[in-house]
Amino acid sequence: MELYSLEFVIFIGVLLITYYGVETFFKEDKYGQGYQWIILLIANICFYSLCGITNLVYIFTTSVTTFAAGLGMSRRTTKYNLDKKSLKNNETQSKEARQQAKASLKKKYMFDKRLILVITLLINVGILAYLKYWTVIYDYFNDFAVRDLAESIEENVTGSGNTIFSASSIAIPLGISFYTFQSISYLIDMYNDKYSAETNFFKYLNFVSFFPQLIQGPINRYDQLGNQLNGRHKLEANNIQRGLIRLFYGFFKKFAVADMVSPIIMAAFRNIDSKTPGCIIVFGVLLYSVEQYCDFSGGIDMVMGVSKMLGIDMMENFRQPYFSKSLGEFWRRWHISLGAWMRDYIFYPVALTKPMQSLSKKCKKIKNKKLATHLSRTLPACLANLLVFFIVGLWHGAQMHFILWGIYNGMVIALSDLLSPIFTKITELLHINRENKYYKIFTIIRTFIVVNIGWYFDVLVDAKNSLLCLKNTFIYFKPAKLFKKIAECAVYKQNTCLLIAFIGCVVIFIVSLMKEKDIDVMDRLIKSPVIVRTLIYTTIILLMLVSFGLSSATSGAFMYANY
Amino acid sequence: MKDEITKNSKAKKCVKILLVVAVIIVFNELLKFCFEPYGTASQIMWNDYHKEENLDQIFVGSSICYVGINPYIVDDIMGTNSFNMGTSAQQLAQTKLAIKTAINDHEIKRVVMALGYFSLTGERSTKAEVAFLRAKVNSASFLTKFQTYIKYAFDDDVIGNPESINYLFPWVYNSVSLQKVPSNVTAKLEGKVATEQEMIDNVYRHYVGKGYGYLSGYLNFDDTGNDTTYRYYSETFSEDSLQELRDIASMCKDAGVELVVVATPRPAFDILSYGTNGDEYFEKMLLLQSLFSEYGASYYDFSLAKDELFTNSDKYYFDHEHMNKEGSEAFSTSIANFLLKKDAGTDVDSLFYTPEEYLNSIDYISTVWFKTKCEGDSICVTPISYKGTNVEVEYQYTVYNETTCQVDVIKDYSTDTSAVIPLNSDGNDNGCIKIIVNARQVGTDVAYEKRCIQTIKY
Repeated sequence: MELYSLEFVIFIGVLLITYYGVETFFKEDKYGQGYQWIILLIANICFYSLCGITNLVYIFTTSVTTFAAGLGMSRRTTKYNLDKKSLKNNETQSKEARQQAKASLKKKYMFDKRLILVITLLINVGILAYLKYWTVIYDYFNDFAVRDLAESIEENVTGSGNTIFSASSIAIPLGISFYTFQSISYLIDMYNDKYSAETNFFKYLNFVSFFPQLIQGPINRYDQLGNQLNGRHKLEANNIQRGLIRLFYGFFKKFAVADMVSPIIMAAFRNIDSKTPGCIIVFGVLLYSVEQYCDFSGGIDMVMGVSKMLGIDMMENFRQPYFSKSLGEFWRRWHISLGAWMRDYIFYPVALTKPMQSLSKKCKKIKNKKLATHLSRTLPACLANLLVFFIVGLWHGAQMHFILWGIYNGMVIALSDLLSPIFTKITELLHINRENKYYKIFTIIRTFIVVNIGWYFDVLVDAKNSLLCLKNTFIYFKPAKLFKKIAECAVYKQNTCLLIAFIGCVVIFIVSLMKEKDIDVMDRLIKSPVIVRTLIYTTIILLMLVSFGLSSATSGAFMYANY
Repeated sequence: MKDEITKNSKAKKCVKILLVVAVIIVFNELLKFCFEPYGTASQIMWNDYHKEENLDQIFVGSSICYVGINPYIVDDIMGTNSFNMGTSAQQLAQTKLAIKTAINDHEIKRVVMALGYFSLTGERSTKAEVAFLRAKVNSASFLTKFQTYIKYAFDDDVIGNPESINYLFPWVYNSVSLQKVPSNVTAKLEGKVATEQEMIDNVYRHYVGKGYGYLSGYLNFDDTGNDTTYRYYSETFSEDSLQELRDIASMCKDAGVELVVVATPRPAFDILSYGTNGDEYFEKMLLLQSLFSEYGASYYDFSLAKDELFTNSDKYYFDHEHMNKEGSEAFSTSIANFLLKKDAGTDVDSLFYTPEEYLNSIDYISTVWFKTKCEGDSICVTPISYKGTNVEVEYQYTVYNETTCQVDVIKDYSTDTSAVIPLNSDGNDNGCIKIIVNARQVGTDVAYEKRCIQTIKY
């Protein structure tokens, strides 16, 4: 089911009527909570079923295991606190004996919790890894000529020999990465006793399966989303209006920009060889930047809009990433929920491990005090960053080009941290004022280039081609061939597609610029005269509709939907 | 007082929303009027269909039917009243709808369905589908129009896609170019005859009447070897399409209407190039024959017709799948005679070759194509000939020299199936080279029987 379809219009229409109808007519239950969450849960299951009923098995498995584990850990914590209290009150034991008993009690409960955590992680990460990576692993098997082994295992396991190990038989359930990561965050939060566990399975299932986030995120946190999902929401025209505007802005980004350039990108990177000039590669990569941003952020705008109509605010996933002044900042503005997840559940736990702490201490022993302080602070963070971006690359896919892309990002961030004193020195020597407007523009452009170099490893599925394209960009640019090469792409109504995408980019740039200056664009639009609004809405809808007639892309399919 | 203010503000909001919706509706109507083409094949077909009375038989299918069967010729020979309900890119769902409409309106006795393999590959064409449906209900009541939309939008394949909404914005998929808007608008305002407008919009297509229009022009065999059904369409018949065929056959059987399914004639190379081994075409043919026979219907492939029924010719084709005027006239005569023989109880199966007989019957080269691969400063050329089983081919490799404006022979006639041509053999290094591969049967001395001309960029 696509968001721009009659099926979704009916779905959301029925949902909104019942959702707000229930609130109007039934008010609240005995706990002071409304019944809206039940309607939402039914809608979530319906939505997921409409997208493929077999997918329910996976989402239920994740929900049941993480819910049970969370509850188990929470109960262990409660029991531990009670035992600790009774130990404290036990005056028959000496103080030392009490402390020893307390330590062993803690050890016992922590072991239990760790065991629950590890088992649940293994189940859920295992499912995710199997569904996402088995195809690639299977191919590696073939490459290493151990296909016979794989096939013999397959025959033994399946009898007929064509299900479990056949890569082709695996279909990735919608949004599995997103809800798995979301559930893992809940699980780890439970392990860390961040908040109390949800005791109602259906409310927890509501959180895991909240339909807008299933398409391509964001990765929400239970402490932020859970209460909103369980809370009561009155029908507010403002929410509906803002939700609709954001939904249509998302459609505009996706259909009038991303889908317009998508076939041209494919054509530009068709038949890459040593004679492919750098100019067309750069053109293709720039278009890919546009496509990536508009496809992903457009999709997020759509689901944010839908969520807003329900009175629920999900975690923002984009904050004008192309205005970033460093790659690190870019990753704090692009796919924010994934970045935050990685920071909280990978970066900090790794950076604060004992080996990292001892590495930091070793750095402090360096004679040069400045260097010692700098390295002791940055080196563990750099190594943790490298791991984080390796995982981010792997999250995108197990193919080599994704891993190289992840490592490239990790390396740039690590090196820029490690070498920051040198950069500071250089700017001081050159008397560059870092607060200067032009310097800021320079850093934005520099970051844009660095990000785009990374896209070379993302857009091309063969890492060899990525390297060849990079080489050609620098040593075989041939700008004179640009228009000829663009014409050779020969995509249906290519120039019109590029024109519409360009208009779209201008609109998005203006909106982003206003947002960057902390202007509430939506508010401005809502308060503008009705004629202006009508004109803007009509233009946006018109461009979007025209794009359908031009698009040869598989419209509606999001780039991040299969992650 | 406060309540009154709230009421007023709510009323204002409602008026504003209504205003925005009204503007969008008016704007959409305006765009429909300007951009939705006047005089499409579907519109003309339905307009003329609604004028018909007492039809005996109909011809249905996609463009191969529309340009392939001339009802006037058929009726002259058979003494019937026929109508061609074929339209460009007609989907099987629309074919079914057309048959159903004709059965209900005219109690027809026979349906002749022209079926191409491409119709079975499951790729729905929204543009054709929406144009067909909108044309059908063009002059119908609002309720009928609404029912048609609902039926389309609630189709399993459509409801979850943008098409379910975009039906309401038909100019999105089916529109004239900006340059043609004035003539389109003028035609609508003047109430011009739809067929006149169709002639203006399609220079190769000429509407005659009774749903039939022919294509003018001839297939150029010098550069057509790569334009084949197999190359353009999926090899796999979708289960949905096969189910549509079963539904059509079943519907005709239940209504007591004879269903005759025909594959319209094609140049031999289109059949010989189908599939990786070249024999998949016949496998598909047997599959369809078996499917239709289950419902008492019959399937005949006129590409396999013996000379006594239809004599195939290169000059009958507009492209690799469509016949031109001469082709359609010859085929219409042939199918009319065929139907008469069938009605008379003649063994019509004997009028067609078996696959093996067909391959033996092709005693000529249907066409030649060549593949190229750049190897340093030269280009390796590998030709492919589409020919009968017993035909032996030899090739001559030549290059058009832009300096002398003459064709230079690089490798003279031999049975060698590849040649290496230096990139500078055309006298320059401008990034492209025009290569001509001539082919003839071994033992003949003609300059060439068929040839392939390609300009290769390097």
